[in-house]
Amino acid sequence: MVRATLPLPSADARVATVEALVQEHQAGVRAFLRALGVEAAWVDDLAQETFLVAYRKLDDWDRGRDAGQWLRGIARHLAVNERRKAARRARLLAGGLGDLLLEHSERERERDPEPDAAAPTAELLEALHTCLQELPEAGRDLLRRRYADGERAESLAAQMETRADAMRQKLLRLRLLVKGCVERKIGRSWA
Amino acid sequence: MTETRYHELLGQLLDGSLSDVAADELRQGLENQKERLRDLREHLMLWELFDQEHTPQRSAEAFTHGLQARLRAERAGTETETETETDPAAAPAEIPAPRLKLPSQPGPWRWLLSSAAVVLFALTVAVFWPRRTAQPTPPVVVPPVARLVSLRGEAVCTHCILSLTKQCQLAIRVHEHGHEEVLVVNCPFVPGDLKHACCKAPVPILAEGTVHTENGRQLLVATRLEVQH
Repeated sequence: MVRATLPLPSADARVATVEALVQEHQAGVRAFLRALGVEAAWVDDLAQETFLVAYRKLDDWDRGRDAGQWLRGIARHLAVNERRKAARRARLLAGGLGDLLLEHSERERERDPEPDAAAPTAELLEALHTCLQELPEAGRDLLRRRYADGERAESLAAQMETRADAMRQKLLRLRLLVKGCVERKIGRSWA
Repeated sequence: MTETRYHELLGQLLDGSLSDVAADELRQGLENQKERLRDLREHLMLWELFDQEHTPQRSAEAFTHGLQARLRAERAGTETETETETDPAAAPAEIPAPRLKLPSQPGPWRWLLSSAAVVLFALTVAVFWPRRTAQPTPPVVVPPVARLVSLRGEAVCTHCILSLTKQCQLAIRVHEHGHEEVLVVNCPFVPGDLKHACCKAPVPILAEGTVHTENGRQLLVATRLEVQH
């Protein structure tokens, strides 16, 4: 876990601290923002803003507090701000989904003031890797093509001469299989 | 909402093909459904992690490079001031122009820019010079006053990333003093891979050229675009 040293002597030291935070927490912060209802295309942008804010407010960081929790608090604040700016609402999921997820998250936070502490990114990633290996090779390959090659269901369906909704259904079945497997391995909710 | 319908809409959401109407339907189906909301959040988180691991443009390294560029821009902004501007009044009052760092030493590219300006002027004269034809003479467009700039920022697509336009258009986003400026790029020699990459994620870039304001937007006529690795 990253702990900053006091005092921070220079801008270089601040950058080094933030880079260490990035290395440890970037994946978790991005996943957290997505679960808050941020549009996929904007996740990285908001996550980078999170670390920029952290850079500016490094002196405010309570070193007794987990860095990941502090960063997720900043990320949440930025996501909530997106709701207030009409021109930026495109950064949240459409149809009020982003609002719903944020509101739900806020309610959870009222019940538990420190809910952001429980985001087991490393554990999730490990379970995800294991569960993917348990999939049939054809399924793994399909998911890889969907993400690594950025192919949507429509284009995958066209290549495999099937219907887009059938392909979407196939992808969903694979996702449900993987998620079920991850749930069994982790044994608790992660969001 | 039935479980089948929920999964159908979930599949569309995770595939990035959920329409606004369907998103609204999904939202209604999730209201007061704590378990489904949790399920949705878990899916979003899980497949976000998967996407990061399997999409090269979203790797930890790419993310870190992007952030480093923004940090550099932020630090440069706090450490330097604009050195010269040929016409500060060119910046519109309602949109503050970014304070961009100019090269401290005149380089060969300045001669190239000067030559380009001469050629541009000659072309403008050639295009708008009154001709002896039956067609009505087009109105003379006074070229706006431009500023020479060299800046570091991020190349982004105004459609895919910024959602500002209906079509893809390269722009450069500059962060300074906590403010963000977007300059639309006009450049005949955009590197091919940049066109695609800037649709996926912001790409750190060094750009040089001239900036002027047109219809309230800042336009960068680029003479150099260099992706920063």
